Amino acid sequence: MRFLQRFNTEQRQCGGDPDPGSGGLLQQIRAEGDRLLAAGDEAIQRALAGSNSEAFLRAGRQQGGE
Amino acid sequence: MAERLLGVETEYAISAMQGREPVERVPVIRRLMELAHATLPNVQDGSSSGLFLENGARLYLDCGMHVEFSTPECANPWDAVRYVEAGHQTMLRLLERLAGHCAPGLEVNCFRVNVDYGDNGATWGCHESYMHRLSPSSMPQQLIPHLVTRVVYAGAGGFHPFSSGLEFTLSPRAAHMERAISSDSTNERGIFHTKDEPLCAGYHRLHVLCGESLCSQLAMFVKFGATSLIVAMAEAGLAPGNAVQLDSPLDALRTVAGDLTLKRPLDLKGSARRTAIQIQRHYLEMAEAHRSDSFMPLWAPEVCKQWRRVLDLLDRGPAAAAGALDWPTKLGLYMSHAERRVLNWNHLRFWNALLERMRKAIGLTADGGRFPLEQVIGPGTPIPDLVKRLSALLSRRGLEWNELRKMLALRPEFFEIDMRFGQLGPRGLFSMMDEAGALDHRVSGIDNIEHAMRNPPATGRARLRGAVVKRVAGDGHGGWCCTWQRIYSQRYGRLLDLSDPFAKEELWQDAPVEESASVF
Repeated sequence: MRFLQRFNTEQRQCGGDPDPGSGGLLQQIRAEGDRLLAAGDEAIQRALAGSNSEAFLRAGRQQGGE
Repeated sequence: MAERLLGVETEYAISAMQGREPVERVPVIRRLMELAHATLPNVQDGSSSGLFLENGARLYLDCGMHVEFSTPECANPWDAVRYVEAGHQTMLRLLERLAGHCAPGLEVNCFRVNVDYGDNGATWGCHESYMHRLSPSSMPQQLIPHLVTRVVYAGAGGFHPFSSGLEFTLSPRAAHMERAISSDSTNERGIFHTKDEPLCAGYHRLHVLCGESLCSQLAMFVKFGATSLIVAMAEAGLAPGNAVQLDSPLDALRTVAGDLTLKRPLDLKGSARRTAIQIQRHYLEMAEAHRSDSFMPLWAPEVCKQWRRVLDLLDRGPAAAAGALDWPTKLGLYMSHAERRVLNWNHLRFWNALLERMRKAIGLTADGGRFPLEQVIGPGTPIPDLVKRLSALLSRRGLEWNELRKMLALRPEFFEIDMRFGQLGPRGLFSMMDEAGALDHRVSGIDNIEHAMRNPPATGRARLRGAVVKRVAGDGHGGWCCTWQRIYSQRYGRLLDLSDPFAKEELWQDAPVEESASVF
């Protein structure tokens, strides 16, 4: 996924291990990242199910507080 | 070791919908507060229509119809996070009870968020209070570089509320800060708020209003813990901010909030430049060097450990902190969602810049409202020369206006997702991901939230306040009133002075009934 690809690039720039196959840590991070995004994607699907975003935002309009 | 007290105010955003139609929320919120009065053990707030609870917290309706939960005074960051979460659970229970008193199908939602993605520029707060004894006038210099740069871990993440496009930011709230220092909290807000209303005797209260409501325990813990330690070091005369004075704090805040790489340097006074993470490391290293000094709290070493862990994560880039902190988690989700919706995330910056150029050319206010793209690029465009040049630019880059149309069409969906991220309850994205075990945000020792809903912290005056509220809440005839500093019964003419924030015993005094009006 693009987010993890970006992470790999950052690792390379920082002198870290760029090869996902050779580093246990990176593999673990990649697996955690995949799990995170899969859970996030599923959560977004559930949250948006049947929702109309325009109406949702109109309902959510607030006044300033503090 | 020194004791410190801190507290957190969370203003919630509440909305109501019937099916797909928005419903007027004011009556719903009033009903919610009536239920709070009727169902939560409480004593009437003597300074507003709110109530003090048996855990020593305060729940009331703040301006702008924002229900606000103020934690009791907490002696460490574990408790501060615990009571913030106790506030969320209290709100959730109230919402569940409210469902039984509303029309069938009415959906009432409550959000941890601090900006409105409409075009009305509304924002509301998540304030922190830190007790200290330093002269308030010397605080801004020590705190401002920290408040600006802590955004790298304490930013809620989201979208720039005044952008016409879709501009991810580490801190949507940052766009509402207009000054480095200000006494105002509703207009021209400052990074540093000069309000000094101690609400106790013998101390000052640092009131921080530039922060945001967070979901991650780790982000909250480090935010509260690090700020507490910097206040302690400033109080001890170490002047922790002197070496990292920002040339322009407001510009620096905008830079930090917009820098997803975390690598852009900030101008310091003189000629030096430092990244936000480097400035945070400056504060951290000083805290580590003094973590066992007598002026530091006992928990300083653990805060330093978590603070370092967070900065080390961020040094490896946002992806490494996804799942642990709010904004990197949001960034990952939103990029992934864009991919699923076939929207090129890497092009957003280009489209945002292009929209900004057109907005300025037609003299439209930067209020985050819907951009009238078809009128601007259509046959009757008011800026034909610019549109022609931009069309040529798109052609050279192999892009089409349709991609911008798509981005604008998806904008409300991304805004909804951002609001839903911090929604309380089972439809909240963070809650769902946490439930699925996909996050790594928890801090050991932040637990027993259920207990914190019913009981005050173990130290400080909040312990006494909570105990009294628990004891007298059912005494409807006592005419009990409470403020942060006092509890008073009109009927019995008894007063408990809690102006000492570390009060350990209930020392009740006689107070004539006729004095009741002047007590609060």
